[in-house]
Amino acid sequence: MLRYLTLRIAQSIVTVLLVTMIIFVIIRLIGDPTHLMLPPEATEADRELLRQQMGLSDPVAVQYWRYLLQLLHGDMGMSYRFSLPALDVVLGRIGPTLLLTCTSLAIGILVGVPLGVASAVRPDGWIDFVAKAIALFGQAAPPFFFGLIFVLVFAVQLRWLPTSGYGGPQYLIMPAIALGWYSAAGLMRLTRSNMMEVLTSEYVRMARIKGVPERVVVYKHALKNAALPVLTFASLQFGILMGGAVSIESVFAWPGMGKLILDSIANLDYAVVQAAVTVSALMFTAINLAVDLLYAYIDPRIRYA
Amino acid sequence: MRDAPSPDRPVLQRTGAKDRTLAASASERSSRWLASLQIWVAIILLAIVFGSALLAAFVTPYDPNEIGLDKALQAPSVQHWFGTDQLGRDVLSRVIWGGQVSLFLAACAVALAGAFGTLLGLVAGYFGGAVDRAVMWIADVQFSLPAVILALVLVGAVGPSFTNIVVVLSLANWARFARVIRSEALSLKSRDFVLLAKLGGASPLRIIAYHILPNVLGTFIVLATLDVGLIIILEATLSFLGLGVQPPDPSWGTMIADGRGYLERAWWISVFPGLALMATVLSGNLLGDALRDRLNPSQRRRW
Amino acid sequence: MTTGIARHLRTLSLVSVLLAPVPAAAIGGKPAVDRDTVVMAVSKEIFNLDGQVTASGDSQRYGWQLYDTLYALDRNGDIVPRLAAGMTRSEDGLTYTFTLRTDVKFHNGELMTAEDVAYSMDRILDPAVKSTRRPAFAPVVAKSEAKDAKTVVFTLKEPDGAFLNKIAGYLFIVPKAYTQSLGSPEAFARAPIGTGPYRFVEQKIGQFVTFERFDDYFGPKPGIKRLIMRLIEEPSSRVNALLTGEVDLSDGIPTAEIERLKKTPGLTVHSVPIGSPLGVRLYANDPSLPISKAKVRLAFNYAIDANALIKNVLHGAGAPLTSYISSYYSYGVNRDLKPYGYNPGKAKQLLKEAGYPNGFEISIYSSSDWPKEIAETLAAYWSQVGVKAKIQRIDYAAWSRLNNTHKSGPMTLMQMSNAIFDPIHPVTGGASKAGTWSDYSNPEIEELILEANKTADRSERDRVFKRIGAILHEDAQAVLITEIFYVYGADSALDWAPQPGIAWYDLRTIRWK
Repeated sequence: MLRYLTLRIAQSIVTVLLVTMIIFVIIRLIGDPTHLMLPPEATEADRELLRQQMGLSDPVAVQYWRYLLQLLHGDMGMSYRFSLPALDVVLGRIGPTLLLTCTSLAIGILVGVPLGVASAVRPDGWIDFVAKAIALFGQAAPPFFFGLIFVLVFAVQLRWLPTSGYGGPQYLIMPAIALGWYSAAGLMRLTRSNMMEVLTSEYVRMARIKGVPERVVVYKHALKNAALPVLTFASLQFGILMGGAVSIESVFAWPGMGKLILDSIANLDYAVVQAAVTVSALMFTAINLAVDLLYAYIDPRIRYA
Repeated sequence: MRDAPSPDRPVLQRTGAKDRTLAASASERSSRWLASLQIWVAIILLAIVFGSALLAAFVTPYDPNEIGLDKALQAPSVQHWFGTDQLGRDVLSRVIWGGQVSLFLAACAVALAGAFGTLLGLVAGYFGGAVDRAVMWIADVQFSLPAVILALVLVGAVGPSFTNIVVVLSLANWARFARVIRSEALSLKSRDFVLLAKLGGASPLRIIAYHILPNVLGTFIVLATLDVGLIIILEATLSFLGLGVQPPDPSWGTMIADGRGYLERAWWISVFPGLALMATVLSGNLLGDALRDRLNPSQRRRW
Repeated sequence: MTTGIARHLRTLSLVSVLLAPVPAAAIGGKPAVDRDTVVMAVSKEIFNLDGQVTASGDSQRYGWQLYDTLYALDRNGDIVPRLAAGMTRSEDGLTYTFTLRTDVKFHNGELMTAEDVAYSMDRILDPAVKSTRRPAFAPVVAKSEAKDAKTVVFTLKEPDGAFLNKIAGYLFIVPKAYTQSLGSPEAFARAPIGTGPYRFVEQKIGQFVTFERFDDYFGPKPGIKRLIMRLIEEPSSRVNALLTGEVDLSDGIPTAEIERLKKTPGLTVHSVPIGSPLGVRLYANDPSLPISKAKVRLAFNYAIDANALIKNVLHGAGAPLTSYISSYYSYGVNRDLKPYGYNPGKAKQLLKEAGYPNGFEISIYSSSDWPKEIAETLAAYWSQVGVKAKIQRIDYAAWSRLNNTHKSGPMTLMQMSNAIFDPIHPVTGGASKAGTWSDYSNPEIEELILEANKTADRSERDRVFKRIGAILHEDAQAVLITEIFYVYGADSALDWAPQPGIAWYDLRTIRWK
């Protein structure tokens, strides 16, 4: 177990490093921020001076090495846009992002899993049909489309909720549902197919023959077995939500990480892009690692798969 | 490694359903009927969408890019079934042409991601060991970079042309294929027919190509069907963020995104492409699910 | 059949909810917060509020509430004293002596002196500060010094006819003692201090900036205590926030929404020109391109119906241009010029005379900041005279890099902002041999630019720029589309009007009626 643990942790660290390296190089391919930082009257000499000040005239490998050394001291560079340490800018966005992501994921699980169970108990029945319709609908349109329609109906017309912004729970409802619907759809489909499989297994049939009540069969025996892959999916969904929330963040003026990364790329704010990708890759990898370890703990066979 | 172990006894779902109660038989007839209705609706919808997209040049009433500023924002009418957009272009024609763009784009991206992911998955699953670990590691790297973010960075780097968007979307999606196909290959390689071929002295390449690949094709098709929807949605998201296909060519994503400012006054600009997109993705998912359940019940658990 | 479809769709509850008129309960004199506060939705991220450093024009505009300049533009477009009481220029045009007001305080309570003004210039010139204004001053300013407490002298290396304009546009005055006491140039951005009518309270990146009225301001004070700028980047979300009364004022209203907002009770729409031409930059210096020929360039202008584009695509928020010099400058505008007008026949004739009777293929860049419809409309007009223009729409940052390095050819959609209230800016920037944004050269224009640089006399400059305007019109150095208008939506109970002619956000005297 210990060997597996160290191996996985080492692997995760290298994964994060690889991710940051890829981003580090690609963002430099897009372009040079000095064109955005100086007015057009600036001469090439002005730009070169700025490049030297920012350490951008060195070879990329040297820059990356310097970045890694600084990283060891927790320094991820300065954001030229905000005149703030890039890490501070990113940390300010983690709260809103986690809030939105976790709430959407919770909605996804609370809606998707019960619907999946209900429709698996009676495959191709009416509940199944309705559940599938609700779920598939959620996966059939880009989240921003639902977001825009929610705003028009619930904020502009009905005045139940604020149109956009970040603050109390009333600001969270629409973006979380618009995003959560999308994961609910995937979770419902996965739960449904897992449950159907477990329900038809020998193990469950034996339980039925022994006279265990159907309710206990479904919720105790079957659901427990179907839960593991759902957990995996949910952990992957977490990453997808974190990145995929960009359009929702945009519609609802939600100060999340996706929008920060998007804007930082557009403005070639290297330090912030690097910091944001590093932090989100770290979070994502940590969650995956936790799920892996949980698996390995529950089912030792997986380690060697 | 994260996939749950596959059950060693493939059971058809029908047997289980029959076992449960005797009373189920009446509702089962209706549910079977419903299930096949769903599939037929999905097939018909897809046929309409794909058919019109393929024949766009013949079935569109107007040039999709022809503007007429004097007839902008007209509601649906006999001349313009889906109305006109903010530049007076025929929305129906644009929905059809947009379908061609979106579907072709999705098909290319899925084919590319599928080919790449399947290849890596086969190699990883068959050879195992260090090769397997390396491939799954790269897949992990891709998973740690959310697709949209990766797409943003890449499109930002190379500019949003059709080809670039295809490449970017496939780079952001191959790992799903690799994972699923890998675990298929993993379980196939210890099956008797593969072992026999091995004993017969077949090269790894031959075994992969002739014995394993044909057996994962079903899975591939199902995955691909489901992925088309995902890609269409991703393309729409990219369009929303201003990184979609180049104007004036329409795609469903760009049409929805560009019409969003007109939702209240001219809902038809974004609602019709939205409906087309939903119908396609919905049908694709329904069909994919059904194929998965029927072709390959033992593999359901993996996705 | 189709009318049937439409009818059915309308009966769907969702659609009928969407089509219903918006209830106007929360607007029209009901402030988002209270009558001491104005909440303004802003469309662009506020980077940082160091007015000398911030790299975004938008952030400059937002942050301007904190700062003052020695001279400033008044509502008539004239340059008038603000922090200065007066100014003298030496005969050779190399020495500018400013006498300062003595009643001006910084937000930290310190009195503004000549030391602060001299330091403000030095700070811009210091490369370590990374001021975006450095390139405007470094080539001309030799030194800045405080003669006494209320006299400051700038000595120039060479005459600069637009120096006073640069002072008014770029030289934000910051307190010397406070700024020097900070550890780094970046620290100032986190707690900026100026002499403006508002003081900085708080910035939450990605969310809002809060300003407070500066009660010791020397000039007319704002009629509110707090000004909150809320970042809402999605245009439809800004409109929705305005409709529900969550914000009292919003910039960047999509032009397509002007009509609807005007009709909404309790809302007012302000649409003002900012003295900036929107045009198509042509790479005319490249002899291999058809647009190197004046006739082709003229044909490109005659082929587009600018009035129809302004009416239908920009929904009226625009005005036709007569030359590359915006009509909203207070001098240098040649009023004898007329817009080219829509004349596809003449365009075809000119193309034929230039040797392109069957047209040709070309491409045009557009940044993602401009509505897609503009480039689409241009391409459609040109296609009617046989020119097939392929649109390349790219991200603003990527475009900006190409556009600042002469790589956005052969054509790109581009605006020239009015930054210093003098036409020299669009002329050198967009129509001279050395211009960063110019791929056009004309010896006559070069002569006239030299002439303009030598004189600070307004009537002289007026004459020179009128001549330049006429030449540019005749030679069609660019495809002229429209004057750019900023569109604001506001609660009609707000007593406020935007400053016309420039792109500054002037919220200095805003109050509730």
